[in-house]
Amino acid sequence: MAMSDPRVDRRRFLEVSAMAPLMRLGMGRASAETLAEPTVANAAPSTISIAMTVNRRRYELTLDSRMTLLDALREKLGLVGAKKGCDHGQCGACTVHVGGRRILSCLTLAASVAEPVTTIEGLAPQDGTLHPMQQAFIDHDAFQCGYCTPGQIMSAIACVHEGHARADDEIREYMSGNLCRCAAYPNIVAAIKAARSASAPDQSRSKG
Amino acid sequence: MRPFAFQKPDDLGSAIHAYRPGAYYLAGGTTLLDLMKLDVMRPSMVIDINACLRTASRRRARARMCSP
Repeated sequence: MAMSDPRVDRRRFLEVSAMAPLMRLGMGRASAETLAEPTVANAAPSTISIAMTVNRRRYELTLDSRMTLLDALREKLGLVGAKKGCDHGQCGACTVHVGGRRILSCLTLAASVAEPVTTIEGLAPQDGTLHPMQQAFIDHDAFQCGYCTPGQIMSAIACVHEGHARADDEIREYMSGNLCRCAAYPNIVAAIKAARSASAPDQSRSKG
Repeated sequence: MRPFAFQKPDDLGSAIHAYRPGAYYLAGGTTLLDLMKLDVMRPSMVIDINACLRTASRRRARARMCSP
């Protein structure tokens, strides 16, 4: 894949281009520090050390108590599969599993995570085959731009696991926390139905 | 989001003991964290009670199993 070269990926490019105006500012009269958020008198920033298991790997992290699980995954661990759509729990693009249950990682403090986390990166086994739900999304063309897809797939797996994928209406209801601005909804429902049938004996795969 | 002190007590007694004015309890977080991001809620301390809720529900489950 074109994105696999670590030297010139899109993320690195965006980071560098975002830094450029800041650096120019730093060279002039104003320092970049003036852009930092104002300190609050009654509470100092609190740093905490936590241990977290993500995709069967254990991480020891020292982070700001304010950091959400989504930011920790993306900024600290480099797992950028979970997306920051609205950052207010309305779009579902940040959905990951904690202890096998789907949660919105943008509304979860990293410090409060106590159970193993599974992200979209942790679904496929080492042999390169895809998780049945990932394969079903491809087979049924259940996305266009793909931005919401990691969240959709994590939610879809939990939806099947919870037993809420028996009928189309039920799937739509229990997937209603994940928005798709491309409106691929009919194909998402079709993919979930197909994956439900395909993976019926193996629904606990996402656990842990 | 404004800075806050973070505490994660293991049992309900410590959670109650940890409280001081300006502190908020964190359970699910879908309202509290959202409003903190919007600067509506400004806790000086967040007390995460998920760990003690787990302990409490385990204790309840044990009590149910032990009761005749």
